[in-house]
Amino acid sequence: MTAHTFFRSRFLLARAWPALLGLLLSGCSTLGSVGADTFTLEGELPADFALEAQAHYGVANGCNGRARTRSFESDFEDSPHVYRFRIPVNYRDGLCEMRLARVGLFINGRYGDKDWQRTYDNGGLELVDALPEGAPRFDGNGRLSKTAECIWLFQLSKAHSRKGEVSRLLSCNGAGAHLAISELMDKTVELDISISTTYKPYLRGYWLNTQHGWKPCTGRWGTDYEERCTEPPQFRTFKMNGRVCSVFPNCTE
Amino acid sequence: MDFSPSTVGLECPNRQKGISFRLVDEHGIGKPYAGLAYQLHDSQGQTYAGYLDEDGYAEASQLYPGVAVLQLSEGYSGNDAWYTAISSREDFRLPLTALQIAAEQSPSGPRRSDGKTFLAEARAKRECARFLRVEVSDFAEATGHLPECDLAWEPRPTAQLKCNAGIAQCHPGIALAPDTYHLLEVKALRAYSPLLSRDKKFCALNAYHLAVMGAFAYAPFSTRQEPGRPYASTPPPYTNPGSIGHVLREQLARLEKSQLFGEASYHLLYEEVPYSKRLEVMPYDSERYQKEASKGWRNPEDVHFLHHEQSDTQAFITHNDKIMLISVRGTLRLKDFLLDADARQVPFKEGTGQAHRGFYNAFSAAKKFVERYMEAFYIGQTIIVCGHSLGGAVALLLSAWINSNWSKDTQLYTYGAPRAADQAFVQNANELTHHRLVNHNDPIPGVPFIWMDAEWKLAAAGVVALFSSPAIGISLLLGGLLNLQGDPYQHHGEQRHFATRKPGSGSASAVMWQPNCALIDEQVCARYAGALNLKDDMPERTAFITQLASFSEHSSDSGYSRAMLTTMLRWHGSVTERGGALFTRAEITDIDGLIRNAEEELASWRPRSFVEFRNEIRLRHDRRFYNKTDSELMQLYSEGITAIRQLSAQQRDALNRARQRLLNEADRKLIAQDIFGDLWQRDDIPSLIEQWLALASNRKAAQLAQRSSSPKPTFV
Repeated sequence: MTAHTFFRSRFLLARAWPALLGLLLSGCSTLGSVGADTFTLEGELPADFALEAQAHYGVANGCNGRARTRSFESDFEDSPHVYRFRIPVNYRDGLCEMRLARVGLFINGRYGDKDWQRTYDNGGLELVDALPEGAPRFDGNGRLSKTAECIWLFQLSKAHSRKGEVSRLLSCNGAGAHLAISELMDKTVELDISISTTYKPYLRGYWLNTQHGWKPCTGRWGTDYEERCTEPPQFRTFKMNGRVCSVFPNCTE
Repeated sequence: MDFSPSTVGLECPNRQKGISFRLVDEHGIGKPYAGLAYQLHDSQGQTYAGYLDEDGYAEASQLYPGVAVLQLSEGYSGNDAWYTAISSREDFRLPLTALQIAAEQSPSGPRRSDGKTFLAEARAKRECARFLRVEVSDFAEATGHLPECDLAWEPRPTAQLKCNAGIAQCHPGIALAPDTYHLLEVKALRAYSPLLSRDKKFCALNAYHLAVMGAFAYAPFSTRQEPGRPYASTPPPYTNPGSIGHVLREQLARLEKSQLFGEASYHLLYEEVPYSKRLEVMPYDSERYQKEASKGWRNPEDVHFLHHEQSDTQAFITHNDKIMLISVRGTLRLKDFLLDADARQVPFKEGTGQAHRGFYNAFSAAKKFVERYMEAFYIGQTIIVCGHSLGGAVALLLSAWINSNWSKDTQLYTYGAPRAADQAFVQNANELTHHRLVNHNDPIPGVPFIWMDAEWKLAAAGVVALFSSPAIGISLLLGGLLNLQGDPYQHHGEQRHFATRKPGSGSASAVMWQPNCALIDEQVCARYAGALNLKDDMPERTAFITQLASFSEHSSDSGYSRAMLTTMLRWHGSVTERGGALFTRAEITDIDGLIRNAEEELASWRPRSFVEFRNEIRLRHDRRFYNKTDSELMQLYSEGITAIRQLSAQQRDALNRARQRLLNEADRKLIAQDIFGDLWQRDDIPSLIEQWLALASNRKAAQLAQRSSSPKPTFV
């Protein structure tokens, strides 16, 4: 053993002392559980999606500490892929026993190379003492599976640096669950993300759905953006990645 | 008016057959409701539809006898771009009705001393009508986007009557009694909005209001997070006075002026606006807005408030039809920040140059939050950003990104903000309008201090300056300035400086001017930078830093909001009473005194000889000069002395220019635009400011500002 690792293990031991003491006092016999109570969050992501989980912890004993956050991230990939996070349910931070309260989810999606062509929607896992009625539970294999359904909403960007371009918002349904904290240890929450193949305009009544796709209206207020459709409708062009288009998402009719 | 008993008895023959009603506003006028579509449902399920006449009146006689339900739920179909947008957007689409929009257009009516309106009631009496007070929410199928029911708004239509309406009771609306003429006073759907100029030019009104908004970002949105508990948002109502949710949702949206912003107590100048054109807080209706809830926007707090744990950043964002307002708060743990932070920089990926790492991380969190909000709600408004202290530094990075990506129609006001980034960033962001306000006795704008940089090399010349002169005052200043100017941080924006005119007189009598001269602008920061450099060991620094973090001149409330209120009052006094003179004679004398003091100090600097310098270093056992040979020391010494000479010459010129500037500014006449920006021509400004000035606390502040500007005997 090198001097360096020796120092580290002594250090760890010193930090673990209060925990060991706590274990003895509470008569708990699960050895090796210190800092290792986790559950797994995993699932499938469509191409050009990534997932970020922020685990929020509160102090569970009387120590004078701050609330903490830990982040888990998966990267964007060009094809469908899986992610897997092992998230601590409890851990020890100095004298503080930290307990998971909530996992905030950022479902990140991209639709181009530019910085602004990525956005996100939120979801979350709420940890509760008792599950609300009708909430899905872990199955016999210790798994809870859910699918979040996402859809892209499009509009003409209101930012001047991308004037006339289509920008998108991500809207996801069902990216959340209630979990009973007492049941969570060593379980697996499977949250798959799916993306709809159809699109919806962000502003209702401002785009007209034609057989070739969505067309943005103009001719009402004289703005640079899409406007509520008039009768009969007048259409305008827009840009997608620099290309001049008349319908979304196919660009040309 | 004197009523004799004989004229009291109005004739009210009970000749009503069928139901009639009139909708009036708080002035007793029916015109705002002209042409509104209505439906009357009788107890047998018959429906009678029609439109109100030009004075808001309608009657129906063919109804089945008995109670009928009046329904006014026709959707809004007008051509107003704003109303159309908020009722067409995908997120928090508002179910606007024609009635709501009509009720938003009439100003609120006069009130008696008990707070009740009286004009409509008087009309009801004259017309022998049954008088009822109603609200838009009484008729709406969805009410989450409307203010909560006003219990004091009575007499209300009774629920009991509606129970007698047979199958009509399942329609939304109110029950009307048979054979009766009803006069229905609709509560004005109006809100208060703080006045803000959309013009980028500096104006006192924006500077004052945004100073308060900067302080406001320290408040919780609902309730303060308890230590050790993870942050969680809260659903409305927001009952905690001074919280952001309380002010925006429970006060301004319900036509109540707020005086408490966090812990700061101020009166702002408000205008009355249509409810849907207020600073919006998204509706709370967990049934209707499930999709929004599932995307993390469960409570209004989630939409408008950023609480970023890792970087300890908070911000709030709201908007109306004209502006989008963003206020950023940096870490609450200013002391920890000063102790822990280093001056390391990371690339500003959204533009050019390098920014402080801590500020950049906070900016990244704020950007993510702001970008999604803007994608959902931005439709070309003027963007106004403000921030105090470390929040000002984050606000600068955020505004630079907004200005280059979203809109050039962006303005930034910061208060006591430290330096966030390097010269390349500052040059690249020169298109951004940034009004930077700095209190004379505030050391924080000097942050990051040079010692935060591990490579103290940058400070060498400054340290030499410190050890090279026995006159500790001026060498501290020069040494500090050398440090500040030699490090990789730069200030952005146009600085305005609050000079305290007499020691100890505080912000209540501060005078705002633009010295444009580092020896004055950065005097305090430079002195502290210098002093910090002398403190080589950590405990001493810790004590020193603790002191810095608690300077009252740096406080957002007692420091900046107070100073800006004073300026606003003084400028207004100047325009209305002193023909627009920016400074009084006494003020010019005082400020000139500041310049003269600086000149005298500068002239008093005498370098030590090299031998004295070397002794000083050895005496102090300064580790930073260990292992240096005599010739290396000699070189450091002469480089340091040269740098100081250059700086002195440069500052002498700058002081001269500051004096010229002072005299020029004294000749410049303040005009109403300097105070109110683009609002100065509005007809309602004189009466709004008159009401505002009449408030007791403002009268007191005005006296304080005034007293210190009265001429003093020369011997004082």
